[in-house]
Amino acid sequence: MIDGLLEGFRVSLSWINLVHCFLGVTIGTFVGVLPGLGPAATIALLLPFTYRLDVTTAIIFLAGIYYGVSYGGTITSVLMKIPGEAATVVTCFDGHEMAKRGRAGPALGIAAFGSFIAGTLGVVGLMLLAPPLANLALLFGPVEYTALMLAGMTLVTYLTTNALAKALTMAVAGLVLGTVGLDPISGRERFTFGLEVLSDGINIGPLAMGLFGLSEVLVLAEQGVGRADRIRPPRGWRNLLPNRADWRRSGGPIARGSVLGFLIGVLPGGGAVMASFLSYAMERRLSRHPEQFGHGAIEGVAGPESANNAGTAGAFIPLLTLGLPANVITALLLGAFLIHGVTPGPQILQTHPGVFWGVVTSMYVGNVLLLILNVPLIGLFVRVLDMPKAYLSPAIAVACLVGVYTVGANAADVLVMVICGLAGYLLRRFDFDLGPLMLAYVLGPLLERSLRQALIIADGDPAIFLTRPVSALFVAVAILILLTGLWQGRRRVAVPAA
Amino acid sequence: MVTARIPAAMICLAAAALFTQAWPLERWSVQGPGEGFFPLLLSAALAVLGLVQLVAPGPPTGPVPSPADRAAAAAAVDAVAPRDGRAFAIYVAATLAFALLFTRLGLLLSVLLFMIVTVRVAERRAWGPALLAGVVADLALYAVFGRLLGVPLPQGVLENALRAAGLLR
Repeated sequence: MIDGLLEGFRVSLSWINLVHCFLGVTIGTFVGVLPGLGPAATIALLLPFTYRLDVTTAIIFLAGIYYGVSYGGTITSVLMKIPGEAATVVTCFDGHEMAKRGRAGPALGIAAFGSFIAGTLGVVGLMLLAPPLANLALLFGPVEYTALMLAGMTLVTYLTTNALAKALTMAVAGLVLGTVGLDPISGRERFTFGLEVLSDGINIGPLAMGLFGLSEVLVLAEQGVGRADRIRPPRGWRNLLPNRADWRRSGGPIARGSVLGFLIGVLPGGGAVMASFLSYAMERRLSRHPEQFGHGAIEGVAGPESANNAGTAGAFIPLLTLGLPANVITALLLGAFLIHGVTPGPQILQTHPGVFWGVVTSMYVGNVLLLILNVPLIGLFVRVLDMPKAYLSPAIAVACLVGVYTVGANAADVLVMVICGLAGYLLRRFDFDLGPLMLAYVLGPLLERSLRQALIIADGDPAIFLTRPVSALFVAVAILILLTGLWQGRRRVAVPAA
Repeated sequence: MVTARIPAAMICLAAAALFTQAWPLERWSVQGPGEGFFPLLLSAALAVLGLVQLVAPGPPTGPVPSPADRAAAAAAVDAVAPRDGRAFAIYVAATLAFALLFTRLGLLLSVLLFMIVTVRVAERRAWGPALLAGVVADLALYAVFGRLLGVPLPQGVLENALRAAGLLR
């Protein structure tokens, strides 16, 4: 392994690979800042440019885009409450609140450093645990996946400060939105009302940007002329980075998020998105000050951002060791491998060790480059907050409107986003949290497919969820989380009127 | 209390609508659950949750922030004025109009009009800054999406005029 590692660094630190890694993370960061265009679309657009490159260089370049986009999405989540991609939705909750309190720098800083630490730990995990974890992932069938998704869904109780019934309503609403479009098993259309635009379902881009970005613009518009004209950007270089107290509070979340994200990233399906939500819920549960979550708790940024980046590393395990993509992005990377005549799988360490170790070590190099690229630019990024809201709000709105169009050149996506924006505004006015809806929307299709497959396997007998040990464990966890949530709900006191 | 029950009533209505739409779908076949199975489960869950909130909407919930947190929040966060329905209505109308018309008007004109309407009318800034904001937004969006990323953008009156003047390729 040491020899492989050294060979890998020799490959990834060659000039050509270093340059392409830097290009990848730069393009990725830039794209991540843009609302609408996500990592999958970017990688698909740039895939033809890699045809003439060596396979290792090509994968290093595309992988750089993958984690570059993640950090770029964090920037817009913190500064403008527009999630750059689904995995950074959670960062909107507390990251933007920190920005409103003049702490955008520490939010971006802890996200950058946390991502770097998590990415590094993820790469170490990838080196040491790739084969056994890949085999473990193979043990997960539809029954286990259903139970895992259910356990994940019950964590909505920790995503919100509101009544359990409201949180569960939002979760069910998210599941309903996930059923629009083609049925995952039979392929028949559901709830499309004859509209071709809905036959592919509701895309996550318009949904996330509408619910979070556009609804925020509408809330700000309603606040009218009495609001202060600017969000205060941090002053002085000391306020641009996390201080000692921030690090003390973030150490635990970063460590926990790294482990959680890495393990979840190995599983096909939710990956980084689910990891970020789970990390947020976990940190809120473990925090001594859970009331601060949603109001600028740095743990709410450190944990999810770390989980997000570690999940990216974890997603490479099934890709490299089994040739199985964990999500759309790794599916595109698999395509890149195949175009260059390399088939990832158990034999890759024997047939192409330089490719395997080169890609693994380039992830560490890419994380270093991300840190070098973005931390000095934090001061520049937070300048955006200097713009008066009278100009910032329209700019955010028009960026969302145009950005969502550019994903698929589909005008209907823009209308869907506007409708989601209005819905998001109304939900916020009636005190419904949007976090559970997003989590459920992402998990919903996988949950439904797994549930139906599990029932087909069991001839309709739901007892299978209790007879399989892994599934039974997750079901027990889900029940425990729900009961704890119910019990805590009875103990919550009303917030006094201002 | 009436206000708190309005969303609950809407949830119950949504559950009924979902049930109506899901019932004609195949619920179960020889192969197992059909495409109507999961939505019907969800409609039942939604109905239960709606009824619970209708019967017992409950008080506003959430943990009590500490006095220090409340003071810090009050000092740090912008004071909220009475609601400005006018600005809100303008933003809603502008975004809806953009979504419905931008493919016909073209991107540049749509963005320009959107920025002018929101900055000048909703945000009550002067004409000069509103026009400048529109032009800057047009240039930035065209440069990034149209040229750098090569995304095909809706063409319209302004694009054709600029092309005729040799200012656009």
